[in-house]
Amino acid sequence: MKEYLVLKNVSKIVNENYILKNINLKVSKGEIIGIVGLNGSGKTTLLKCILNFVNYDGEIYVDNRQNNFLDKTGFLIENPNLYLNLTGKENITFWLSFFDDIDMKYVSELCSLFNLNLNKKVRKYSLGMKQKLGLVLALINKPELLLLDEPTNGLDIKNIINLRNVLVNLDEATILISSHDINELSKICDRLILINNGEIVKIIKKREFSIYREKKLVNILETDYA
Amino acid sequence: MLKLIKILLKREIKKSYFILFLIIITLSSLIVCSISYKNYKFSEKETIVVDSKLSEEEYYAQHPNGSYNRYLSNYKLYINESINEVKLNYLFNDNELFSFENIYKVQVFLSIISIIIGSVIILNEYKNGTIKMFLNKGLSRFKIFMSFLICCLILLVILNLFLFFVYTLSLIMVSNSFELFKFKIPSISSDQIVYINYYLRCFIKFLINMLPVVFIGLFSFCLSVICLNRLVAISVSFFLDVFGIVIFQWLLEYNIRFLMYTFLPYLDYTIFNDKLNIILFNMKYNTNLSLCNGNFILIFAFVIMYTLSLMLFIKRDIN
Repeated sequence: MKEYLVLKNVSKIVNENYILKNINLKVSKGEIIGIVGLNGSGKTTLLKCILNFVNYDGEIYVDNRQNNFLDKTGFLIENPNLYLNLTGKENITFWLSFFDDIDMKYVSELCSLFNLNLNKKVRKYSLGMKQKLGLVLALINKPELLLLDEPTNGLDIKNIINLRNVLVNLDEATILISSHDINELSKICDRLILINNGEIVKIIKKREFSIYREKKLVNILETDYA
Repeated sequence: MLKLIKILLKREIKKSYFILFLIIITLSSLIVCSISYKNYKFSEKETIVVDSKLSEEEYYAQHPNGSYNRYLSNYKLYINESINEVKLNYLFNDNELFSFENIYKVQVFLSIISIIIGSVIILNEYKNGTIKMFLNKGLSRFKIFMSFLICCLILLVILNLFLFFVYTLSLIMVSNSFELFKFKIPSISSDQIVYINYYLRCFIKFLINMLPVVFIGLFSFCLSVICLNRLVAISVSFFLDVFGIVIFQWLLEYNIRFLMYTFLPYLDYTIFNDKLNIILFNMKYNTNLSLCNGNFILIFAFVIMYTLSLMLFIKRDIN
């Protein structure tokens, strides 16, 4: 399969401490990757490096292009980035104005799928509502590369299932999801990447999920929430 | 990039704070116009008698709307310096106190609005985290920075031109006449008397006065990118704008003369509106402040701030 995302020796150093250390990764087009690790292990920083939000050492290629300024990228990292003084509809309309070819039917399907109240000011939204709007904004342009950090934060079980269905049905989209919810990741991901202290310690393929879930991953989770 | 500028402009113009600023400018123009109407007088220059110094009573009998102190200082200059007919007219004719001149007072107030616009336009994106959203719209950081900067610049120019337009309308309303556009005054810059359109001259002066107003807005923009703190950006810009000239004068007393090559004395161009004032100022402090130097220094200072803020915007991590 064609390699879509390539990371070569990616490192991020802050105050002489390695946040990421020599990350090497190749992700094929259409692949869904789950990133698992303890708090502060560098999961979010890795996603930020791919999005060019932070400076890093090493090389990152997206679709064979370095330092790309892709408009076919979607992301939801940490908190949803929303204009609190605007309504949900105004937020969507504003970001839609950046794209020329938008499938409006798809956008309205997304909004109704997540049952968003678009006429309410975002300031008055609950955490879950903000998360759902953030997800819609990440998905509105049918991204080729989608990066999600804890996408199920604040979502109820119904919306978690909806999100799962949307992600699986995204055509040809390469998706990286950072999450602590290993059960959820194992349902949709093709590979799981375990990160510890900024280094990739293990890459687990889909057929190995059951073995690792029983042996190592539970220990990681226990350590995580201890 | 053009598309981003267009989108940003469309959004900012619709924002409630921008509409509020337009209302404030309209009200200020109306109030200043109404107050200064008593001095509003479009007439040909009067014949000036300066053979002997007038007493205060004699002066006010001839110039009910004039200022005796101003007359005295002008008379002193007239006695000490050789003066031509044009300068004579300029020095002693109180018709210079036309109402339109008061627009520059409102324009100084506009610099406060400029500071607010400059400091919030990009910092709001940082505050909401939406600056990240701009970064994945197919644009480099340089283009994003430039789009915000150009958008800020256009907004400031729009506000200034809006002020001029509203002030003109207010003056027409208050005076109930269109004489403003017909009136001509002599040019004092040449030895030959050349009559130029008063309204046109005011517009040119207004455009020149616009430079420090736009500068302080863009300064505030750059400062907000550098320190990423709205309070610091607003307070520092405001402090410099209001007290710049005072600090400059105070430091000149201690013979710190290099400050005349900084932007401090040029943050308010109204000091150049009265040529006599600036001549006296330069004589008193042994400086060489001039509009030409001012324009150059403001542009140079902006280029430094721009380079610094752009470098930080490109290099800095966005968390």
